[in-house]
This record gives sequence, C-alpha cells and structure tokens, in this order.
Amino acid sequence: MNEITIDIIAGVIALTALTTAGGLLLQTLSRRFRVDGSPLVAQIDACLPQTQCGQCGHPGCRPYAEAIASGESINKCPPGGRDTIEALADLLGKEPIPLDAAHGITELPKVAVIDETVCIGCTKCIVACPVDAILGAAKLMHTVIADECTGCDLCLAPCPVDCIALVPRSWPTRDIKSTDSREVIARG
Amino acid sequence: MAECRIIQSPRRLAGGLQRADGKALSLSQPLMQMNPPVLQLALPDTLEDTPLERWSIGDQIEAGQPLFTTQEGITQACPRTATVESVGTGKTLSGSPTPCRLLNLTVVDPDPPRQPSLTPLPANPDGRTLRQRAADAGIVGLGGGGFPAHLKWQHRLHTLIVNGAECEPFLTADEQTMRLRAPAIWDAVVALMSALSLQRCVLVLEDNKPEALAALQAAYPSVLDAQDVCITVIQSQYPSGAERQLIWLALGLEIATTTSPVEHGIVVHNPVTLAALADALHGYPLTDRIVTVTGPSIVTPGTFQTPLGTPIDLLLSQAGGLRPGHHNVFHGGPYTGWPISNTAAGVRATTACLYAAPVVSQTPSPCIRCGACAEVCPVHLQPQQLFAALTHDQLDEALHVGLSQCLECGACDVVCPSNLSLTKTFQDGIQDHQLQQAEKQRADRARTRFEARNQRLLKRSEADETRRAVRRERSGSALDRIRAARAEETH
Repeated sequence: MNEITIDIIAGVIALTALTTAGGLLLQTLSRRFRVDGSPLVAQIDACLPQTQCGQCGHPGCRPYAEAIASGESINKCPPGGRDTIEALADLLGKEPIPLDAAHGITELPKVAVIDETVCIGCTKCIVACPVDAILGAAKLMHTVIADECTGCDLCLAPCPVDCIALVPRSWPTRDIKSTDSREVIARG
Repeated sequence: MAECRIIQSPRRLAGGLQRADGKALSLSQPLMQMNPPVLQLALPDTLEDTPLERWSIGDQIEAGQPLFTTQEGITQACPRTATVESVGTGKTLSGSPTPCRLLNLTVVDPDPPRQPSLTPLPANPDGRTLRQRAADAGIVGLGGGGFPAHLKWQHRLHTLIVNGAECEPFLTADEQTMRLRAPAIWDAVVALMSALSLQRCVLVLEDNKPEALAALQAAYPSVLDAQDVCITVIQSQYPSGAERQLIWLALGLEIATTTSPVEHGIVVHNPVTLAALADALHGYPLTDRIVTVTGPSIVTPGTFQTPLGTPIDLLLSQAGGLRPGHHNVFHGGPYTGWPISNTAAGVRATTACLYAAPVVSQTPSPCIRCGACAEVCPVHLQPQQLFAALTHDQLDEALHVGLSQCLECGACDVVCPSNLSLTKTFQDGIQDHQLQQAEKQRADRARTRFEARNQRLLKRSEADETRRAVRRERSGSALDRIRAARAEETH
C-alpha cells in the first residue's frame, strides 16, 4: 500500500468516527431535551385569554390553540378581542383580521355570582365550571371563588333555578379595544 | 462639640430641571398647629372587619389608641381623643369611582396625645424590637411613598440614606422638619444604625437649604463620631430626590429599575419619617404629619402640623383659603401632584403638600419633535417616542423603548411647547401594562386549573372504565356458572 491509500483510509475512518460521534451526541441530546407536544401550540395557547368559554367552538383554549396550529382562523376568540388577534398574528406571521362576529363580541370581563338565597345545591354548575371555581356540595349552598372565575358563563345554562348572574368585576380591568377592522394596526 | 463631615457631591443629574423653587413662599411663616374639630380617616380596602364591629357610634376613642391594622401590619393610631360620629362609604381624595370606607370622628380634646400610648423603648433597641415598634406606631414613608418602613428593614442592609433633597419646587415639609427637628432625625439615625448594624449613613441635602444644614450640623450627636456618617450636599435640580437618582448622587451607584435599593443593602428614608420614628421610640405613634399648603392660589401659604384625617378644606382655609377664581388643588407638588376632587376628605400619611394653582386651559397641539422633553428626561428616555407609541395604542412598542423606566417626574410636561400631557399618558400606559400583567397571571392560573381539571376527569373516566370491565368480567363468569349448573341439572 502506498502512502496515498493509507491517507485515504485514515481520512475515511476519521470522518466516519467524527460523524458517528456527532450523530450519537445529537441523538442523546434530542432525547434528553425532548419537548412533548408541539411548542407552537403552547405559544398559541399563551396568547389566548384562558377563559375556557368555548365561544370559538372548541372545548377550551388549548383545543383552539391546537386547531389554530393546524390552520384554523385566528379571529374566533371574543374574550381575547383585538389584543389576542394581534398577538396571534404577530406570532404566526399573519395579517391581523377583525373578530368573527359569529362567535360573539368582546365584552368587559365579568365574574359569576350565585344568589345564595335561591341556590338549591344541585351541583350542576360545579360540574360545568371549566376551572373549578365553584365551591359547594349536594344540597348545600354553592359559591363562586371570584378570584378564579374566568367569566365564561358556562355555569349559567345548567342552573335549574337561574340563580347565577354575570356581573362586572370589582377589581380594575383593562379597557376593551375596538375590534373594528379599520382600527386593527398591522405591526412588524 | 462634634462636627459632621460635609461632602459636596461631585456628580450631577443629566437632564432634569432647574427652576425657581418657590419654597420661600411657605417657609416665611412659622410652623402652625392644626386643631380640627372633626377628622375623617379612610380605611384600607383590605381591612376585614369594620370599625363598627369594635366601636359603636358615640364611643370615645382615646388619642393614640389603635384604630385598625393593615395587611402589612401597620397599625393606625387615633390621632386625637374623639367620639365616633359615623362610619360609611364615601368619595376618596382623588374621587376614584370605587368608594372607600370612611371613619368620621368628632374631636373631644384638640391636643395631641400627652402620654405615650406605647411603652418607650430603651436606648439602642435591637432590630426585631425596632421593626415591631415601627409597625405598631404606624410608621410609613412620609415623603409620599407610604411604604411601611419596617418592611424595608427585613433585608440585609449596610447603608442608610436620608433623603432630604426635597427637589420639587414649593415643597417644604422635609426642610421644615430638618430645621425644627434635627435632634429627632439624628436620634432615629442612631437607633437605626445600631439596630440594623448599618455601616454608614449619608444625609443628602440640596444646596438651597442652608438653614436645614446648619440645624443638622448643630444637632449632630457625638455618638455618631465613631461611625461613617456624613452630610452630602447636592446641586438643586429636579428630580434629584427620586430614589435611584439620589443613590447615584450620594454614592455613585446605579440601581437597576428591576431591583429595589433594599436588595442592594441601601435603605432610603425621608427625614419626616425619621422624625416620626424618633417619636415612636419614645412611645408616641404616628398621629400627625407636617403638611405644606402652598401655591400661587393660596392666600397665606405655610407649613402645618396636621393630625391625620384633618379635612383638606379646613387646612386650606387655615392657610387663608384660595384666591378668587378657578383653582385646582393638587395632592403633592406642582410636578408630581394629582388633582384632589374631593376636598372634604381627610389628610393622609402621604400628604406632604397641598399645592393650589389657577386653572389654565391649555389646548394641546401636535408634537413638533423639538426634543426638549428628551433633554430634560433624567433617565434618558425619548418621551416623544413613548408618547407616539402610546397614543397609537402600541403598548409593546412603548415598553420596548423604556416605558417601565419612566419616573413619572413630570419634567417633560413642564418643557413641552405643545402642552402635551406626556406624564399622564405614561402613567396610564404603565397602569395598563400592570393590568395586562395581572390578566396574564390570572390566565396562567386559569390554564393550570383547566388542565388539572381535565387530568382529573380523564383519571376518573379511566377508573370508571376499569371498574366496568371488572364488573363485566365478573357478571360474565356468573352467567357461565349458571349455564354450567343448568347443564348439570339436565344431565
């Protein structure tokens, strides 16, 4: 064997060893720092207001985030309003579009209040609450933990005695911004 | 006689304002004592029980007796011996839409408490005793912040800065206190330095207060000789008394806006707070504070020793009342003050100054990009850029160009040739940002709860499924047994 052949063989062996080592390193790293689920869904979910109201047609904010990740329109969230649409547009590199009025209009955030003199203790609202913000037991009075209530209004329909009302929050909240298409500012 | 070291600060603020200070207006009169016939105290929202659960209408409360304790542990003492007239809700000083609970008292004895209502502390109390005493005596930051003093002392501290800068024009409460109560201020410094084992103390004054400097020097106690104590004189310039600016002027240290000075071991106190602390050491809780009533609309401006809860109206009339015409009364000074909408409300612990000025209707015109605001901004912001972002509803952009660094000092408003209300816009922007952050926290909590609930429901449905499967299996085997038994019978 002449010197050139030896050089070639040595080169091939060295490169093979390097690429193998690199491959193994990458594989271990990808296993160790594996992210479960799509990171995009989590980012989209972070833009949504977490009201869990289902006005978008999905059973909660996370399912809507998954739907947006697979191509659904970004303008179906009335509680989030313009801010959410703009944040989503920024994130996904889309144009901000006005809120789809078919899903509702943006209102000031509210909080559910149970008229405790009327409540019969049926527990139906407790089952309906997506964030476990209603406290109570069968045949005992229920009450809403105002601090945890998202104002989603899902407890209103199941109540057989109509003793739940949505009232404005007693703490300061941000003003809602118009969702008029002319006022949507394109950024970036 | 001991001599205090006096140092001239080599540093000066970039930007800021140097205007006629108007302080002589209220300092030409001696300090006057207010003896109001009624008091109105606003109760904190966080208070769980109402005073009516403790007192009924007509009950007499002695001066110095505790009224209520806030969540932070601050106990407010009754400023004067008085009877409970009524308890109800009413408008706050600022006239904010949410009403506050008020305690109305009719004063029986107009004199301040003669006997200490707390036991006087021995000389050199330890840190824990001092913290407890400050909380029990209701010592909060009397410079205008209102932050409970004892909470600042929970950190590991090495330096005490006494903020006697009082840089805002027209304000004189600090200066009057330093002139009249210099021994008390030094007493508090001595107690703080030994209780918190501080290494040094810097008392900062602006160079427009020679009388206060002389009084402090004359009262300097020899016990402090062995310690690293000095008086630093800085150039009069607004806003040199802002906390971070003051620390830089006094020590040459820059404190990031994301951290608070106490985290770096530096505690800043106002001289009025220290004088109140000295009283607290002798057993007298905070019942009075010194208020400057001044401004071009006040007939005889002056400084007043005022019981907390004294109606603003009464204080204004004591100062000769307002001149004829339309006037705005501000809580605080001409730059940082906010308009008082309800002058029937009582003086608070943070009411350092009442400033009255004629109403001037200034119509704002568009920004001409002159850059005057950027020149005076003490934190090197570009107010015109912030303003443009906020008026176009771009909070993110405003935060990006430094909205959260804004001191809300109002220097840009003063120089703006277009009369734009820059500071108000920034304050609104900062408030909007805080609300946004709060919303985000709520959303995060809702997400956690929603996911926890989904997990629980999933687990329950899985458990139901397994139970059903077990039952199905069991019932299936029972059926087999019956069939087997029948098969046996037929055979």
